[in-house]
Amino acid sequence: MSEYQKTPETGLDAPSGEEHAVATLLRDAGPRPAVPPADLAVLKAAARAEWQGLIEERGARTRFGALMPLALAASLVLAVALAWWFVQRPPLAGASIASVELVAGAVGLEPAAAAGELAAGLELGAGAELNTAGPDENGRAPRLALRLSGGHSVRLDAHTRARLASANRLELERGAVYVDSGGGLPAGAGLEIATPFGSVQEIGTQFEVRINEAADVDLRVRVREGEVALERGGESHAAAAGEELILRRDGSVVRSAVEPDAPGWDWVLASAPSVDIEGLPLASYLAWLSRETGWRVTYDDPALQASARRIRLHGTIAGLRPDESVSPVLDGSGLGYRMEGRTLLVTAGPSG
Amino acid sequence: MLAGDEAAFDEFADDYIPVVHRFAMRRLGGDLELAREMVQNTMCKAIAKLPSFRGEAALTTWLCACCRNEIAAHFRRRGRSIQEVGLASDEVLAAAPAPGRTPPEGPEETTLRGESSRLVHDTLDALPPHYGKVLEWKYLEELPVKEIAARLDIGPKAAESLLTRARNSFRQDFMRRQGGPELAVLAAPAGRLKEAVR
Repeated sequence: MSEYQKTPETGLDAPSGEEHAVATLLRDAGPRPAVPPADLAVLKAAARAEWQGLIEERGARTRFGALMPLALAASLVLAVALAWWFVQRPPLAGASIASVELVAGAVGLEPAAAAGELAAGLELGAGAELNTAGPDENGRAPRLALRLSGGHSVRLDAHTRARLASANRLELERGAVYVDSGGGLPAGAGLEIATPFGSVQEIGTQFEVRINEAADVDLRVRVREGEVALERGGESHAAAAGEELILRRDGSVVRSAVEPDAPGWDWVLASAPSVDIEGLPLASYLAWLSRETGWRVTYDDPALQASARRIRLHGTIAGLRPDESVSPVLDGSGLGYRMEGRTLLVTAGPSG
Repeated sequence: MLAGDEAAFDEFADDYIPVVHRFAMRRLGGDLELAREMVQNTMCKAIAKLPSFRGEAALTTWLCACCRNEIAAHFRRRGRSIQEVGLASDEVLAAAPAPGRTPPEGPEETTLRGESSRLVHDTLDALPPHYGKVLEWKYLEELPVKEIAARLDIGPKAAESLLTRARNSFRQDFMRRQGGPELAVLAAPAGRLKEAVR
């Protein structure tokens, strides 16, 4: 064992034996060789030019419905069953009450000893504390999405700190969380978001709870679908889909309307876990898309709706936000679409 | 990045160009000009293929595999088999003493220290980029945890957790790469390392 042991006196920066070994290795090795600045500038410029060309090409494909950017191919087969991706996960075993579905950027997890590698697939137990930092120096916000054992999808915005108290209770200390029950949950499976300013009980819905958005605001609850009940000081305030409740510091409650695809939901889209579309019926993909974006999906022709249940998708939309995936998926299926307000109209021809 | 996010591109380029460049330099015997050419080809081709990257391997692994292919193709075009750069070349490069550091005592120690440095750098490059950064901040720049937390805009405990995960990942990957001896042995001076390797 090393002479460097963590003690209360030495605090966070004191090395343990294993840490000492790692530290010695790193110090002996020295810094990693750097790329000569001139070479780095050349390489970055070349890469940027390639990237910009790719972005322009993808934009052109979207506009003209030409070649498919993700090499998606769709084929017609008989639909055997529609299995929603978000209810396919088996129940988690043991002490696990949640699993990580997506993580990116500076995200912290405590306690560290039981944390393991914070990556997609990591199982979390009761008491896990999650922290997301602010955007990095490049303006990219961290992302974290969890799937609770009850089926809820929970996403944390930047600057958020939350604790998983149990499978149906999340304690929000700062920042904002978004909850999607996935629909179809059994009665009594509602998730409670507890905050210092009151608790929000979901009743099969999609909603966001945000703390201290402004100096005079303690809590804001936005409901995208379904209904929530906000409990504070013995009073209960119900909020339905399309409603926003603001609890002001002076104790007043303000109710207003919020659109399901308002810009305030953008961070939710950015932290949406991707769906494996390989073999998925197009109709299932569109249902997922509708849920994530708040768009209503309709069809130009009833026959198209039947086709959407038979068309099986191939390829991947990994790395794309839900709203970015529409074009490659529908183009790859030989279909088109156009947006009419918040409605996505699926058409027979390619997108114009 | 595929959505045209400039910041995402910068992050990608800043994180991965140095990793691929080091990979190329090791395999090209330190030929800077050729490394630049290989890395440029690699990054441009990888970006063009990015929409089809399925994330089945780590991005670093995928980029280094692309670079390896690029180097192999380069030598095939010139009618030569791929140039296998012996350990000695890597070791000599990696073993160059940093300013202010005492040079190793002899060639064997130089080789062993160089091998150890190469393994450490390879391991850091294989980690998620933010893991490598926090380890370097902590142990090379010797930043206190509070300062690291401030850089990442997270709490000290979260920073400590991140460091713990980064250290664990480093330790596991390093041990896997060097074949199993205890980390503490490898952290020993070159003389002791020589004995451990024997």
